[in-house]
Amino acid sequence: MSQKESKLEFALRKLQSLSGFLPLCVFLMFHLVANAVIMISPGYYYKFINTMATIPGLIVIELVIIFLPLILHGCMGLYIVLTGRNNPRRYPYFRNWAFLLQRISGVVIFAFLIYHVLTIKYGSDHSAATMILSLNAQFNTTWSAIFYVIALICVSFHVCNGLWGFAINWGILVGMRAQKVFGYVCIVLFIILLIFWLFVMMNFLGLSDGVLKDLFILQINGF
Amino acid sequence: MSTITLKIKRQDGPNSPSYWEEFALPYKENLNVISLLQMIALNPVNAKGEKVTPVVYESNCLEEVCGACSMVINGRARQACSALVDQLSQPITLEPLNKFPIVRDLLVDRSALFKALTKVKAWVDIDGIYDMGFGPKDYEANQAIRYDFSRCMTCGCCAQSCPNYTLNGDFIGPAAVGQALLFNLHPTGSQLRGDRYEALMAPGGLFECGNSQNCVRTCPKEIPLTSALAKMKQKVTWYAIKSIFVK
Repeated sequence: MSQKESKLEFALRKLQSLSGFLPLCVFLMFHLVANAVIMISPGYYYKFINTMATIPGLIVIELVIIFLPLILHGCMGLYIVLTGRNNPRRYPYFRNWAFLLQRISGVVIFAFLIYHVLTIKYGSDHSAATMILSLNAQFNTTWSAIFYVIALICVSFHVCNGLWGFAINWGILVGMRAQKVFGYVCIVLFIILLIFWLFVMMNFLGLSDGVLKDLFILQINGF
Repeated sequence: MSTITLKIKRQDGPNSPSYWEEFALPYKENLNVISLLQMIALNPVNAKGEKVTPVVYESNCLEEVCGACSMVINGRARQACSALVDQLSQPITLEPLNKFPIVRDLLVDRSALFKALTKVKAWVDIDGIYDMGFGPKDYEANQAIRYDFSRCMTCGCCAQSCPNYTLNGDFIGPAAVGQALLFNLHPTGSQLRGDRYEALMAPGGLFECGNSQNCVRTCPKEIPLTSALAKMKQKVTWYAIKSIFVK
């Protein structure tokens, strides 16, 4: 080979693309399904969360599967946002808007995750009761409920549009027809995902007074 | 409509500030933007009636095959020679391509595009220290794919519309990736495919592309640039994975 240039940026960009799908996209699906357990019953969900907390080496799994990829994906993503020059007003095509929205949603998610992780995961104590109660309280407060809905729209969009980009970046979608068709598939996925998330949110929002009272008793007893 | 209103973003030199100047030209049928610029060159008087310097621009073939007269016309990058006045809304605005260093008025230095072609070795290496004779035969189906990419005239419209291509950035742009694929598909040119994959992995390479797909929409030659980008992403990704184990 004639030129020997640094492959670091190439590697970082590939890792950024990869981490978006594996593990982050897969984790998000798990996060959605795990939280959808509340649709069965709040009591069952409470037990489920407590069981999850007993997984051995959970902190290592969280670090390797969630935190490190998130930091890599987020920081590299912000770098990509800053190096681009968006122009959808001059070139108002669907894909160009999606390109800009991918960046806007990414920045919104970055801010949201800091809020979400700090308030829910590291809110006060680590009990499942506190977590459910604080989510319920956040969804019943107008400004944070709006923030959550915006974040859910952004997350659903970012994941579905990101999946489309991932499929191109890794050579799965090559032809222009295939790219177009999968683009439509991703729009359908976006709608399904968003509705599913909003349903889960509604279940946290609409917990009955009896359930909230039980959770409060559990919380003060340190469960 | 008896006059044509033309607004041109002008700049007296590479580091001078830019300014807008309006021109009012007599209407004639079947004019293109180049003929408007020729009319200004003949009688360089602006809409206020002041005598000004003629507008500097570049043009050559006048049939949309050389790419020299690329400029931003009514907000879109395209060739001035194939921009017909009767099809444009007025006032017609002309701006230089702002992804390249401006030399003067509408004249820009597009040498970054040609440097990108040398980076990806967009050529066929023939003969070495001795005559190697005929190259391998090619199939018609392969030639048909190559034909689409061979129409590229390095005009810069794809780069101008690309949100990832910037004046000071090092992204090589969509056209060079299309040319890398063109020469990889050539039976003799494919000898250098490893070098081309390496070049596309270097800083400013292929993965600066963020799939906004503006390039394929603005390419005046309708080259399937997005499928070239995707094909090369596939090839380079596999090449990189293979390199981990083979090298």
